[in-house]
Amino acid sequence: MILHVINRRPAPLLIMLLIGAIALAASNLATHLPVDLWWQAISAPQDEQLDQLLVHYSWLPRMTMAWLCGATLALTGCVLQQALRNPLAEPATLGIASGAQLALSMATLWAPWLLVNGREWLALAGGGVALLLVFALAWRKAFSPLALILGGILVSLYFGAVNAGLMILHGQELGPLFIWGAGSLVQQDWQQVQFLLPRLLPALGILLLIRPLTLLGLEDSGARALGLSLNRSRLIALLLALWLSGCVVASVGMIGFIGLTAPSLCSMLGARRLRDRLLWSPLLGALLLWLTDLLVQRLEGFDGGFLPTGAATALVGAPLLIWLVQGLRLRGEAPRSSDNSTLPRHSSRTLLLGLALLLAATVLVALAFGAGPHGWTWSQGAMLDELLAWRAPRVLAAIGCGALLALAGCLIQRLTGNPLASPELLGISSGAAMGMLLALILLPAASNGALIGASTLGAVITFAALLALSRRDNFSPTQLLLVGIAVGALFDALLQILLANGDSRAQQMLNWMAGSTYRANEQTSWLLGVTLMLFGGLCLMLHRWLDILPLGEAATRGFGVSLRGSRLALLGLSALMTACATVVIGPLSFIGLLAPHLTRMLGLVRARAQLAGAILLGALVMVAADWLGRNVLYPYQMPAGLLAALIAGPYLMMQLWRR
Amino acid sequence: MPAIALRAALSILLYLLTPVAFAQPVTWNDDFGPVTFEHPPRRVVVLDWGLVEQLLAIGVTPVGVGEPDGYRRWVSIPELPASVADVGARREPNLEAMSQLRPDLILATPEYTSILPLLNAVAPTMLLATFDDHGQPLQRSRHITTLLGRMLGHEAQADALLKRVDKRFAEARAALAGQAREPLYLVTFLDERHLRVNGGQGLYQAVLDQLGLRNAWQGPTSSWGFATITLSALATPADARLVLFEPLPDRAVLDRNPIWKALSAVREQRVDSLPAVWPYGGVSSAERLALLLQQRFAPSAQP
Repeated sequence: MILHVINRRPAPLLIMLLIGAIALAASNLATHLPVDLWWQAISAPQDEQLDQLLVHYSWLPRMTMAWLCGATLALTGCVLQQALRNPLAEPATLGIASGAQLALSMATLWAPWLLVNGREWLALAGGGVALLLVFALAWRKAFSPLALILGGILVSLYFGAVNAGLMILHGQELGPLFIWGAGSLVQQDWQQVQFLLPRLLPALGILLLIRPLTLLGLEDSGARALGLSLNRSRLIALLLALWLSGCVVASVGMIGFIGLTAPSLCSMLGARRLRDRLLWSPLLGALLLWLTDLLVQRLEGFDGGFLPTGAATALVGAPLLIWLVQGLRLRGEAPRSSDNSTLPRHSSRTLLLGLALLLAATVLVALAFGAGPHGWTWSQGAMLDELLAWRAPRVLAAIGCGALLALAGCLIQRLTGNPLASPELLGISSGAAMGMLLALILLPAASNGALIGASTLGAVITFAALLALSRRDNFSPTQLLLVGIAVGALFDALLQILLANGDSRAQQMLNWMAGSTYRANEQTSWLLGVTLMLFGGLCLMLHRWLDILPLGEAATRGFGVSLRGSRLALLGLSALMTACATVVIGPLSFIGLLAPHLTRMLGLVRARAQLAGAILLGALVMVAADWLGRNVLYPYQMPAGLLAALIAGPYLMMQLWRR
Repeated sequence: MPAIALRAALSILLYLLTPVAFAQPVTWNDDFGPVTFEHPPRRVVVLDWGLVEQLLAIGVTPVGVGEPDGYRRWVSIPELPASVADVGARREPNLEAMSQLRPDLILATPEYTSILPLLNAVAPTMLLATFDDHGQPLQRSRHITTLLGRMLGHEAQADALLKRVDKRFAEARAALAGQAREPLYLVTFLDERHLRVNGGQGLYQAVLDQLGLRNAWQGPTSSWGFATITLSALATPADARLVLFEPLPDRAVLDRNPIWKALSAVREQRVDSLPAVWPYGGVSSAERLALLLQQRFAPSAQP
C-alpha cells in the first residue's frame, strides 16, 4: 500500500549491498561451521559444541549489533540532520562521541567502581554534556548549521585534548579503553543486544515526529507561519537522537561516519523527502556497518592484528565525506568577521610595544624560573648556563611555532572571512601528523629528518588536495572546513587502530600529536626562525590583500585584485607555515585560532597591525603554555600544544557563545 | 736518572690527585655500534622498565628511572629502592632533571632512536633491545646482563644471575618433564571481551621453550610477543589449558559468559591464575615466570 508513496530509488544499491553482505557473511560463517549445522547453531546450539556456541553467542550477536548500531546511527544522523537543518550533523561531529570517551577515561582513572554497572550511563552523561555544550555554543545563532558544526568540532577537539592529556599521563591504565574508543563490535553473548534493543524502542517515536520534522526542514519563518512550536519538536527530536546515539556509543564505542554517510548517500540516490530518508537510511546504515564489519573480520584473519570496526568505518567514511562535501551546499554561509573598526586605532603602536615587552618578560621567566629537584628556583650563573642548553631551544621553538601558527591563522581567517577558521580546523595539521605516523609505521627507527620530511609531505599533500577539491567553488570556506574534519578523522582512525593494538609507536605519536617542544634543538630553532622571518615578512608585504579580501568578492575585484590568484597565494603561504610549525609542535594547539582572535579583540584591526600583534600573542601564549607544561607536573612534562589548547579552548568557546 | 725518578714521582702524585684524568676512555658496543665513555660509568639513568629490571637484577641501583611508580606497580620485582629519582615520563624523559643527576650512562631501547641526540647531550646513551625482529629475548637479555655486568663492575653478580636462571630453568624443566602437559594459553584480560595472548617472539614464549612447555597460541604476535584477541580464539586446541595473569576480570561477569563457559578448558576446569609477570622484561622476569609455572604445575618438585 505504502510502497508507491515511498521513493524506491536507493533500492538497487541496497539490494546490491545486501547480496554482497550475505555472500560475505555466508563465506565467513562457513569457516566456522559446516552448512548443515547452521540452523542448529542459530536456533538451539548444543552445549558441548563450541563452534555452534560461537556462532550462536559471538557471530550472531555481532551481526545483530552491526545491524542495530548501523541502523540506529544512520537514523540518528538522519534525525539530527533534519532537526538541525545541517547535512553534517551526526553523533561524532556534534561531540557526543568525544564526550562519552572522556567520561569513560575519567571514570577509569578516578572512579573505577562506576564502570562496573554504569558504563553505559557514564558514556551517556559524557555525550550529553558535550552535546549540551555544543548546543549552548550554537544557541544564540539559533542552531545555525555552521555554528553547530564549529561548536561540535571545538568541543570534540577540546574533549579530545583533555583525553589525550590523560592518556599521556596514564597510558598504562587506560590501555583497554583504546579498544573501546576505536569501536569494537566483538560480542560474547546476547547481553549487549539485550541491553541495546529495548533502549532503542523510543526510536519508534520518530514516526510521530515526521510531520514536524518535515516542517523543520523548511525555513524557520515558513514553519512558524504554520503555527508550529518549532523549538519544542526540535528539542524532542534532539533528545531522542542523543538517547539513541548515547546507547550505541555506550555499548560498542565510537563508530564514526555511519550517521553521516548513510543519510547523505540516500539523498544522493534520490531519497529527497524526509519520509524516504527515514526509511532508507537505517537500512543502508545497517548494511554499511555489517559489510564493514564482515570485511574487518576477514582482514583480521590475516595478520593477527586487531582491527576495531569503528576505526575501519572512519577509514572508509572519511574519504567518502571528502567526496560528498564537493557536492554539498550548506545553508547559511560562514559568519563574516565582526566589524570592530569603530575601536580606536591610534593606540596600536603602544599596544604592540606593550605586547613585545610582555613577551620579553615571559621569555625571561620561561628561561630562568622553573621547578627543579629542589623545588621552584630562579637560576643564575653557571646553573642558568647549564639549564639554558635545555630550555632555550624549547622556548625558541615555542616562539617560532606560536608565531607561525598565529600568522597562518590570520591569513586563513582573512582569506575565508571566517573568524573561526584556523590551520588546526582545516586539516593541514592533521595531514602533517598523518605523514609522520605513516613514516613511523613504514620506516622503523626513522631519523628526525625523515619524520620532518614525511610530515611536511603530508601537509603539502593535504593542502594540494584541499586546493583540488575546492577549486570548483573558489575555495568556499565551509567546504575547506569540512574537508579538514575528514582529514582529521582519517588520521584519528589510523591512530586508533595502532593504539588498540598496543603499538608503542602510537604512544610516541600521542606525545608528538599533543604538541611538545621536547624535540626542539638548534636546528629546529634555525628552521623556525628563518621560516618566520621569511613568511612573516611576506605576510606583511601582502597586507593590502588581507585588508581587501574580507570585504567580499565584489569589493576585491573592484580593487583590481585577482580573487583566485590572491587566495591561492595566501592559502599556500598559510599551509606552508602550518606545516613548519606542525612538524615541531604537533597538530593540536588552537593557537592559529586563538591569536588572531585575541588581536582583533585588542583592537588591532588593520591587517598589518593584526599580523604583528598575532605574531607576538601567538608566541606569548605558546611560551607560557610551554613553561606551564614543563613545570606544573615536574619532572613530568605536558606538551605545550596540549596546554595551549586547554587554555585556549574555554576562551574560544566563550567567544563562540557570545557571538 | 733523577729526572726520570722525578717525573715518575710527579706522575704518581698526579695520578693519586686526579684519578679520572688518567683513566682510559672505555668503549662498549650497544645495538648500533661503539659508545665511548671518558671513564667507566657508574651513575646510570634508565628509561625502559625492562632494562631497570635487568639492571637491578645484577645489583646495580640506577640514580634515575622514568616513571618509577609505574615500575613499582607493573613490574615490581626486583624492588626499586625509594632513593631512585624520578626523571619523568618514559616517552619524554625530563632532560633537565636527568642532567641534574649527573649521570654518566643512560640506558634505553631502540625506540628512543629519534631522541638519541638529546639523550646523548645529557650522557652517553646505550640503546639495547631485549625485543627485536629476531625474537630471541632470552638470548638478548643474557647478552645485556653480561654487558651491563662488565660495564658497571658487577660481572660476578651478572654471572651468578645467569647461572641461577639456568639452574631454575633446568630444575623447572626436570620437574615438569615426564608429565603429559597440555598446551598453555598465557593470557591477560584487557576488558571482558578482549585479551592479550602471549607467544611468538615474546618473553613468555621463550620461557615456555626453556621449560619444554607448549604454547597453545600459534598465531602471529607483535615483536613484543603479544596479540590482541577475543575469547573465541581460545577455543582450539580442545585440550588447551588457560593461564590467566592478574589482574583478573570480574568472576561474575565471566561466569555469565556462554562462550567462556563453553571453552573446553573452562568446562574441564583447566584454568589457572598467576600473579602478573612483566612480559617485556629480561632474565629476571623470565626466572620468575618459570618459578610460578613450576610451582603451579609441578608443586611436588618444590625446591
